[in-house]
Amino acid sequence: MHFFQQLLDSGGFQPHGFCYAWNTGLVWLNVVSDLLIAAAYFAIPVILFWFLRKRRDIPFGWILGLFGVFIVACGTTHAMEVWNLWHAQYWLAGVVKAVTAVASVGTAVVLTQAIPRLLHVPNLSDWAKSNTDLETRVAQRTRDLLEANASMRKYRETLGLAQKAARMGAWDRDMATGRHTWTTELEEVFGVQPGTYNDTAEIWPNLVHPDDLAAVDNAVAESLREASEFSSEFRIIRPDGKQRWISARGSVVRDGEGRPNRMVGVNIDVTEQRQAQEQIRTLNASLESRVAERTRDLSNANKELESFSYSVSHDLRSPLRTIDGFSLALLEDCIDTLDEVGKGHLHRIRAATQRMGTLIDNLLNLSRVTRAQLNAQTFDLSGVVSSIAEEIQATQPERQVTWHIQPDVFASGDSHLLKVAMENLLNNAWKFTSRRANASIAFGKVENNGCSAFFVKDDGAGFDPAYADRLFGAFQRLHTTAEFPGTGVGLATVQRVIHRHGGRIWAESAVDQGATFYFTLPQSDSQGATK
Amino acid sequence: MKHKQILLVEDNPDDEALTVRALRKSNVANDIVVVRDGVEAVNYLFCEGPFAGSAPRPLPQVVLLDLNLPKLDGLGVLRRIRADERTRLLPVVIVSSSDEEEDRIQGYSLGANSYVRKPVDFEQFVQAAMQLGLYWLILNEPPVIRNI
Repeated sequence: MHFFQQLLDSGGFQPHGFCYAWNTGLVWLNVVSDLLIAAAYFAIPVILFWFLRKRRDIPFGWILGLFGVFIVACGTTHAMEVWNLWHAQYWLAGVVKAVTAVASVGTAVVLTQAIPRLLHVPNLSDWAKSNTDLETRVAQRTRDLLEANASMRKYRETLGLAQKAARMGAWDRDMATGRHTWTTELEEVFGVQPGTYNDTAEIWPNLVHPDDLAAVDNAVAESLREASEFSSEFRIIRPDGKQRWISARGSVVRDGEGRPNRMVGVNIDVTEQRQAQEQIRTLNASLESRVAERTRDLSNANKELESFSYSVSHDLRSPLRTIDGFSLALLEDCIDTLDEVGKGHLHRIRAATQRMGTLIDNLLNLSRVTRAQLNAQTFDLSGVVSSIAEEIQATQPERQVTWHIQPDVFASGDSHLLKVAMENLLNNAWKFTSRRANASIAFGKVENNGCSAFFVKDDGAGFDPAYADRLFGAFQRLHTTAEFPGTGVGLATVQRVIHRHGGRIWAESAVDQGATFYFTLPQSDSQGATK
Repeated sequence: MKHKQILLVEDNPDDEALTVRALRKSNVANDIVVVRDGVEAVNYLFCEGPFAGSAPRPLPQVVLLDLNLPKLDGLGVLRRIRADERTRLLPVVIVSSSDEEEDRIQGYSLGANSYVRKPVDFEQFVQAAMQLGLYWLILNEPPVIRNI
């Protein structure tokens, strides 16, 4: 209370007008000037305040506020000057000045500190520049968007064409909203108008073949339950009544918590493929039945051949034996009543009978070669040839024949059948060299254009190459029986053995130049194919 | 020698005549009993059917058995012979026109003692008959001689 009393107390001082000696002009000059200054100082903060309220975006507005306080304080000191002209309350004036001083110093300090930040406030040209930048960027973004839209349209178009070409369409099924989305291509596949399927899918049961509906729906449900890939094939009946086959595939999409909430997939019209498959199945089935039929025919033919051979073996030989036996009996028992002509006839009968016996035996061998099971193995063919050569030489030890047998020639095949083939080839060579005083028979293996061939070579009578194609036919002979005996079955048998092994046989010769028979056998690794 | 009997099982009369002729020509003087089908052969061996009640006699020294026979074929006869205790060890020689491997294998599998193919050439046949007689009637010792 004492402080406030002192503030309002003049304390015995003279009013300030006293200092101006109450000179009317001087007093009024000061009064008017101070009042105008005070009025202006009070008005400025009001304008600033009003401005700040209107432009709240102005940065550093609080500094303007501080200015306002400082100017109000200054205005008050000028008002106090006028008051002091007539009232000597200088304490009050001092306090007002002190307040003004604090406000001024505070403002000065704050301003000093704020200057570096104020310097960063963009100036107008900065603003203008950043505006231009912004506009450029907006234009660029707009261009980008337009381009993106264009490529999106193009992509959508390509996708649409691809779907159309593949007769497929995509679907999306949202479990949460129950919303179905079909591409227009899919609607085309199902033969429905664009836009009819979306949202409800209530026409689905009408589109799927009633026999397949449950299976498809189950597949979808299971795929959702197991969160597995969805795959199904089913028939649809389109609104135009056409039945088509659809292959559907889809994937389950999970939500943020891992629960399956969407399925996305494609449906493809596979009617043509199904029809092709069906055709292939039918063809296969008919092929199989034809193969089975052919196999049956073949096995019947084989059985017939076997029983024929058996019958030949048993029944055809028996009468021959009787003819030969009784011809001989006739020669022995009726020797006294038979003249030379009769004996000659009987000898011819016997010779023919025995020849027929040999023919039958040779034919049986040929059929046996055809029927025999192939048991492939690798064996020493040189050894086989050597032992056959010894046996043949033993039948006519007096003959001068030089055998050239290449050692360690191995062959892959049925050793029994190949022995039969070698017997025939070597006997042939032996037979057709019979008119040479010093004959030579060779066996070996040669490389011929990268494939190896076995050969049997003699220097005997040879044959005219013009008839080479008849060489391997059954009952085909290039020499008369008088020249060289034979039934014409031997080389046919050899050829059959080689062919059954999947090999090839051919001969090279010239009349009186000897003959060379070549044959090939597939390598052991391909033996299985020849069985 | 007389008691050493030969049983010839042969349905073809020509073959029968020739076989007998071949055996005789090779100086086989033994009794040759001829039966003309498989059933007759079995009946004769086991004294059954028409042969029932015949006096006890020794088993033949050797059976010459054809394969192609009416009623019961040669392999069937062989099967019966080997199945019966009395004839289990009886020497049986298959004499056949066939040289089919299948027949040979079956014949030996069923216990044939030998397999001879009848050649077409009668001179070879005589040779074969001579060797058969020599081997089975003179050289070979049968396991037991017993009556049936």
